[in-house]
Amino acid sequence: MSTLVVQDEASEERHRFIEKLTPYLFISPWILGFLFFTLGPLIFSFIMSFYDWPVVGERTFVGLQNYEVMLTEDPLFWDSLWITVKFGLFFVPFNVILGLLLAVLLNQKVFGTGVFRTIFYLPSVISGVALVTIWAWIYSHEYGILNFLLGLAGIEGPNWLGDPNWSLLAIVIASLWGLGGTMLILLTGLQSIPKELYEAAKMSGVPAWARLIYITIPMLSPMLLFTVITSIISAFQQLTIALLLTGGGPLESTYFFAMYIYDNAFKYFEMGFAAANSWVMFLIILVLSMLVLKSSSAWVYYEGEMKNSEAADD
Amino acid sequence: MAGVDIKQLYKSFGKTEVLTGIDLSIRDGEFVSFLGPSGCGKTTLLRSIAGLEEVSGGSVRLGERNITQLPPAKRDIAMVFQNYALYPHMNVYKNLSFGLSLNGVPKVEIEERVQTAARILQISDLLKRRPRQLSGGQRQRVAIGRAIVRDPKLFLLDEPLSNLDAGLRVSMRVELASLHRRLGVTMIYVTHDQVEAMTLSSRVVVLNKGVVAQFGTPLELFYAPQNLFVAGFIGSPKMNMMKVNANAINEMSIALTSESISGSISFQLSAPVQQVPEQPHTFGIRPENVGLVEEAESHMSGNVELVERLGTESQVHVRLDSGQGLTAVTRGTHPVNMGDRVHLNFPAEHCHLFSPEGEAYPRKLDGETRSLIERQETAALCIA
Repeated sequence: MSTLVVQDEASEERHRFIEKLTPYLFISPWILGFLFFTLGPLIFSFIMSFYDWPVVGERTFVGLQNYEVMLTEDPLFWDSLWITVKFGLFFVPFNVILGLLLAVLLNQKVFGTGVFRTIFYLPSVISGVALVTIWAWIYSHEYGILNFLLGLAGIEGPNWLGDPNWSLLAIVIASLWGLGGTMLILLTGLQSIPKELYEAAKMSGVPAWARLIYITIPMLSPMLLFTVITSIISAFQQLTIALLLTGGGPLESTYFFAMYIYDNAFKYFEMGFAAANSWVMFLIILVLSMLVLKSSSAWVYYEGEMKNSEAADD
Repeated sequence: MAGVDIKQLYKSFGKTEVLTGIDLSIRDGEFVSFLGPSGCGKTTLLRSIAGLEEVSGGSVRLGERNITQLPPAKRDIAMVFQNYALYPHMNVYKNLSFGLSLNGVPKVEIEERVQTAARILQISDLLKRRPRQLSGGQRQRVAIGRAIVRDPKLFLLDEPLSNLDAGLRVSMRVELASLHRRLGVTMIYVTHDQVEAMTLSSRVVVLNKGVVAQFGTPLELFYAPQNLFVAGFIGSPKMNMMKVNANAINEMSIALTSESISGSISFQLSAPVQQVPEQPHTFGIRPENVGLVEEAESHMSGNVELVERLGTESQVHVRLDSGQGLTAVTRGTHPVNMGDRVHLNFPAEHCHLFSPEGEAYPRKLDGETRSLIERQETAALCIA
């Protein structure tokens, strides 16, 4: 009798344990992926950044030396950072503003809107390498379609990828190819704005440009904030297009920060140094994002949000 | 200020015809309601007047001007939307002044207009708030204020009270009426609530399936509905209706008979009718006009299925011997009970008769009712 009870208790306990475990089993693929492929490498790279860590050979702890060398002795760090910032200064506003204009256009009730939406989003699903191949062909100095078209208009096109004055712009244009994603987010935002707001504005004689500036943009500001931040992040992570299109040249005019990290890691096999580079990039993105977020209280309007100062006079 | 003249207005969305030949003439300074069930076209008609819908045919005139092809802003019309349509990111002052400042109205004048409107609507202390921080009634005031500051020739209101709770709706109704008196401007009001339409309007347009079923004063609609639709739509509980045979006795009266009517009902006409068709007619009587009487005086009999006691009145649901249901309204203290056998009488002056096509015969109203309707009509005319 007593053994039976003990057995029952044991099996019940086992049962309860399995019951508790079940949900974790279901989410385990994600948890494991996160631990091994995101959090793990993250922590690992932080540790690496304090080491002289060649791919083959002795690893030695060097403290903050990697950071020190990067900031004080390596001019390429500052050069590549400046190129990335220049790129971002073009890319972020163009990406957001053009994305917004496209979204506004595609939000009009005209024939074939669905087709246009698909066409504009299509580049965003093309793989980076294929995209770069297309652009290499477009930009080709002598045989490229872009210079051919410019030639038809009587303009002698520059050597887009070979001239340091034009190469960065060429990369900005090529990376804007993918603004379909931005457009899609803003288009969704546009469609959630009640149409009565526009009707009320129309009734009181508010012209179309003023409706865009005073109604659409404020109502869209949370989405705009999101696209500004993601654009900044993707500007700093710009690698594929430059790597494949120009390889950082000519005269290192398109030598992006991400490429600098890439070279340190996989060309010079300085893993510790590259890890330190990455952490600096992470900090820069973090600070920039926080600055944008901080500024957002002045220009982003959330439905349902009530600022403390406003609530106070209730 | 100006009246509105609508001629042969058509509007279709693709193949669906929503408005089919609307003719209306609204007088300067009038308060007119568009009343009808969902999908009758009342909101579309309002939006067509506003210029928010492009009409498929016909014309709209405001005062002396043909505004059919003008953009909304050029029409001198202000509209209050059902969900208020306040700009959520602007404070009340900005909401009121936004349109004005973009149309080059001087700052001093904007300030003056906003303050005046705010005073009229008692929202002066709310000008710094965002719509989010306002109650439903306050938002409604701001929406009306946005119309007032524009000083338009015509106000359009699209179910403006439907988002408010019952108590607030009644008090806002009273305020709207006094606002109309104060401003003296023509107002068109869309609603599906007949109480709102009846209490606010000098005249009501009843719409059904894109056509005007009747356009008249509230009492006219109630006591002299021109067709079956209006008869069934106006009044609560609904008018009782049943099929009858009609035979002309002479030029001014018709005898109504059916299996369930004992004897006949004599319907008195107010104008001579040449011919009465043979097909079955529809007889109508409002529940409050049905009398509970002794068997000898009755037209019909039946059993009481349910008594709903509302205090001031009781609604008695009767199953007639013919199997049809009928509702009678009695005084609240009437002792009638469920299961009772009752005998019903239909006073001649309260009977309605509709032709097989659903058109009303001209009925003879008692003197009191007639003078009431006439008084309302004169009042409506006086506004102009």
